[in-house]
Amino acid sequence: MVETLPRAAAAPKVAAAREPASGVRIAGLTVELGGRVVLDDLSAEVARGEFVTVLGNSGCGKTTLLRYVAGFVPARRGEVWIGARNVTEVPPHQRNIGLLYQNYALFPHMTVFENVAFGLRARNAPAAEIRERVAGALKSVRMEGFESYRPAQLSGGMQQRIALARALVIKPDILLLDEPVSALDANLRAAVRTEIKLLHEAMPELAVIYVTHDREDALMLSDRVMLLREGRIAQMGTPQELYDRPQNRFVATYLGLANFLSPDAVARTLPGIALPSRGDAGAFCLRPESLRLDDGGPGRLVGEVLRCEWHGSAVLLAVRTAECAEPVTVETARRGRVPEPGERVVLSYVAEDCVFVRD
Amino acid sequence: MSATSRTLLARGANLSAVVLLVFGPFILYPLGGLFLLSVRTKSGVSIDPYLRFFSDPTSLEVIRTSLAIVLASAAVATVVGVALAALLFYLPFRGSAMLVRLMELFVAFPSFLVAFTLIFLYGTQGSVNVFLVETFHLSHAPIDFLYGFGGIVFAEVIYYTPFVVRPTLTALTLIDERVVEAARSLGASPALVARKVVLPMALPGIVAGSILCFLFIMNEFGILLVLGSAKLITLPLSIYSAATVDLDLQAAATQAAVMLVASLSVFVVYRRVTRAGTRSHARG
Amino acid sequence: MARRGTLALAGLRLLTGAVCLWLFAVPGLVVIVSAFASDWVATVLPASFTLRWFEHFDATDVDAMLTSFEVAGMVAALGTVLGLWLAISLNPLEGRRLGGLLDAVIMVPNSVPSVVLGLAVLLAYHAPPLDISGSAAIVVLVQTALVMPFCYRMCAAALKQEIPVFREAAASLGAPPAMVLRRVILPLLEPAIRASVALAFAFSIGDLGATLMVYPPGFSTVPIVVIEDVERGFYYRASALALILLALSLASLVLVAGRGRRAKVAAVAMER
Repeated sequence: MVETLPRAAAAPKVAAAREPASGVRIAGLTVELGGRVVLDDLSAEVARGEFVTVLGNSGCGKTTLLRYVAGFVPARRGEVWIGARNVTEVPPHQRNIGLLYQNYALFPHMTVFENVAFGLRARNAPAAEIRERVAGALKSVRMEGFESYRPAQLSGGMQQRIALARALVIKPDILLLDEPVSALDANLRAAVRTEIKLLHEAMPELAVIYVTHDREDALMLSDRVMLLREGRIAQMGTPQELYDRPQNRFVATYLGLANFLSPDAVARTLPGIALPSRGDAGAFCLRPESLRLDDGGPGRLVGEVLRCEWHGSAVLLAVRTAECAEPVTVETARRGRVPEPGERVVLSYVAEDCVFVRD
Repeated sequence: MSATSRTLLARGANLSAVVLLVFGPFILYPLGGLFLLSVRTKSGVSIDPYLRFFSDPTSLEVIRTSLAIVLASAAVATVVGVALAALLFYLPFRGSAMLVRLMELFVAFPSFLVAFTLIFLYGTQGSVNVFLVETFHLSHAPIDFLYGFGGIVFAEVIYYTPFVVRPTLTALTLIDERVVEAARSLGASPALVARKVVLPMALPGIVAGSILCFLFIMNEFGILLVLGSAKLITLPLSIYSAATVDLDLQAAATQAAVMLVASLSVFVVYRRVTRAGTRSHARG
Repeated sequence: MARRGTLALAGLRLLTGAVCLWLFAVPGLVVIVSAFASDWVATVLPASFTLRWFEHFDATDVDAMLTSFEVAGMVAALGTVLGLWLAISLNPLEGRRLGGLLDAVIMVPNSVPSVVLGLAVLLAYHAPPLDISGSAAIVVLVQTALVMPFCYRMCAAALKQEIPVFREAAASLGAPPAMVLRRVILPLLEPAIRASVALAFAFSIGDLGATLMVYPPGFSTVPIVVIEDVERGFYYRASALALILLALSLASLVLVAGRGRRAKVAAVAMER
């Protein structure tokens, strides 16, 4: 039901004017839904202007995290700050956030103009300012001239751009995106992704939290990636850090193809490498592109090609070696001769590409 | 005070208002009062009215009649409804969608009118009888079931069959066609698919429709007012005559309380059945 | 063989159509035909047709029509407002024990015989502290209780399926709850509200049991007059009145609920 709030409290505009853009800080967040712990003592910080991707499988709690920041999910414990403001107890409509949904959530009974103007009307902006800012927002997503259309008359990509304009026209402190490109087909997905990247570059102060299960989104867009697993942070860092220096097996496989070589196998094939202390259960992670099809060494594996997979620009080889229980995957360029199945090959690698990951 | 607790407080206040202004005057106060009156006798609160009701042969006859009518009508309506729904769904023809819409319009048709129209057709002077007498040169009307058990069941079936057809159709529509195709591709005959795939998947909808139909037939009043007779009195009819003809409000209240318990029991079963089907749709 | 199969299927289709028409179209047709029949006794079809029954409506009939129309209008409005309020109030309790309990209690008036509800209302409101048994208010009250479950269901279903994401989107854009209600929820609920009004009107105008239990002296609605006519053997006049009743309730379903909502109305009324 409707609860009326004092007018003074209902003015996120004031906060926005004082602090044009701010970061987000989440501290000790624990969320329980239906008796299940969805987020477990999670703390993280998103700096002003930073683009952070929250990555994870379905059910890992990433959408819950986003909805908590937006104010739609009650927490068992924890705090959330937007800039210098503790908004833990602030209702959603006073948080000054921009929120983008996978299914756009454009109001079906309003025109494009009314949709984009909605947030400004909620802030009691004067009519002239509304017209001006809506026009500007539509221009920034290249949707001028569609003001009087209804959402149902627009394609999915167009609707998502309108939703983006609607979220950004209110000059939010933070922008929250919930799988914004997942509902689009592959071509459109790339286009909208680029759109989001460009818009963020045009607003360098805006903190962005982008929830997705797609690692390509994460690798291409983000300053930093937060990889979630069962309500906890598996690893948080730049995409390069997560890809090149994964801390555990889960992170290594989530971010891309990985070969795992046991410490024994590495010790035999690459003498002199620093081994982890005994008792640390784990393996060395070696990306397919770090294995070369030559005798250059210093690390050296010998094996037999089992399969070749064409991936357009590259070829993936599955090679069975004496040192590894599983066949290793090797990425090689299409150019030049590609070994046939059954052929014996020599693979070489260097110590710098080996990362020890815990199980 | 924090915004969250303010929201909760407003919600609580509003909920209390709802209970006080809507639940109270429209539901709880009248039905609660009914119970109170049914146990209030000159000598104070007692269950004597109930003992009297359940030991009275007349009321036992009423209960027997009610049960016979509801069991027969609900059974026939379920069989006819499921058959019609399956035929309309799997053998559609031009106009079958219109027939479904026609059935849907029955919600706007008062039940007593259905009973009333039957008089024109199946009464001893009605069209069908006249037609049969004229065609076969009979000496008297061959169809004479209207003001009896048959007529009542017939009217109930006409009025309440759509209440089975609708949910059955919905259940059939909700069955994923690919599952049926998968069964067919695995070599199952249409009969086997119907028995082993379609029926189990549609069963919750059919059962729900059938229970709701049972409840509504049990509660039916208009049809019996038009077609009932002194020999065929169901509980709702008996409550009505106790209150308006005999002006015995106490007896009416006792019977109404018995009826209330019976109806609410069926209603609870219905809720159980439908809730079991719609649970576990949580967001991931 | 295949030919026989095709024939059998055609036969089945024909049978289905015939049974449906026989069961569900004939009652309506009989009302129409008998309302215009000059005489329909001991004949298969009426020998001639007339407008006599409509021309001979007396003051009682006209009064009953006006009363029915007024009462149904009030009941539709009141039932919808209350149903909407209930739906919006119970929506946050979705999935909780209390929510389930309240939801079940709202449906009670429609799960008990209309005469039981009528009797309960009569007993509750024919003596102090509140005695309204002498006025039409008691009829409005009992019929509102009767239709409220459907109004609530109609709005609750729409709130559950279509609204939550829009409500959140609006809140994220800075709209306070009152603005969310006015600018987003109510406009999106419009189809459900229209359907609720239509269904409540149709149910109210056709109600017999509950009204019969409570109606005050000197008051009558169309169903009451029809039943009295039937009991006295005035069948044609009853038909003519019934036709007007049917026309009104169909008109409300078609005009108010609008195209495409009829299935929804039927789903709520027949399946819940």
